[in-house]
Amino acid sequence: MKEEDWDADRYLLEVAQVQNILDSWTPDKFSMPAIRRLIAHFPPKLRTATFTALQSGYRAHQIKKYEMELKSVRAEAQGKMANEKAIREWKREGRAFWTGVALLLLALAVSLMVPNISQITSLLLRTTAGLGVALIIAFLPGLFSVDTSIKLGWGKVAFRATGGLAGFVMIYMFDPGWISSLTKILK
Amino acid sequence: MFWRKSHRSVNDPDPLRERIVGVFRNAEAGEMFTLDDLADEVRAEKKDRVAFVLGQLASSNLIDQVVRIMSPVGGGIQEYPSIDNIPDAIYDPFQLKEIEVEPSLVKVFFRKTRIGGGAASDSQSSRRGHALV
Repeated sequence: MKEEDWDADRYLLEVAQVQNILDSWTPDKFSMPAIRRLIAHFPPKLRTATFTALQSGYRAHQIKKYEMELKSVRAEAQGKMANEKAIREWKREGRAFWTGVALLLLALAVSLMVPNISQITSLLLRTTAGLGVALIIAFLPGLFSVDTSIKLGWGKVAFRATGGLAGFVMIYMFDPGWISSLTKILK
Repeated sequence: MFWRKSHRSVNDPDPLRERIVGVFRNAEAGEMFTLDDLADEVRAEKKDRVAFVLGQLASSNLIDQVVRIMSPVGGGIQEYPSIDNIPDAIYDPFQLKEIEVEPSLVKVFFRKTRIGGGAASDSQSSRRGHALV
């Protein structure tokens, strides 16, 4: 093939074909003899420029490949982190729920075992039961809210609580009755 | 037909070629350019198109091609006029040992043709290459 027969279109087509072959090569396959063989059919005067064009194209390809690898590593790391976060939250919710259950059972056990409950014991038991209910409610889906007021000697105090705090306020302030009833039944 | 896409006549000057020639015309004596430098200079979208023009210019002896083998530790070892002339292995004076010539160690430069001959001349010495150190 004579150099005169190589117009720009023919050259670009040949370079594209060679680049496609290079893209399929593994890094260990790259060597000067291999590249020289690959472009041996190019006119001698075009070979050197072609070689540097291929070098440039290969660098761009490698950079693109590296960026893609980096992206996949990042995506994998993000996925892993999201997964770890979900597991951590699930464990935290589990711990809170079982702590709440334990506190409720503790309050129930104490009220069963202690014959005469003083005011201070009652306050402690209500606080313990309130905390237990708050921990159980905190991670349950849905919105639990308490909106009320209590009369004190000097005036009226309004309360508004949601979520776990609403559970605590409900148990602490109003003693829904079921704990006392359950205690009486068990006794 | 008046709506037919007009084609550039064969005799029209190639604007990319003109821009590349302009870069070499304005270059200082001995100034060397890589393909990437030239592609940036002429703002070419396709580097292979620039490579084709450079190959043509080298073929017409308007520019010289310099193929330089670099040491992996830095520094040029030897220069050749074409990649066809470079050996598979070369003695590296920076490392005091023979190294395999890998594609990443080969750098290609383009420069104005030197007055009174140059890299394009097929002398025995130019085929063997010019040692840099």
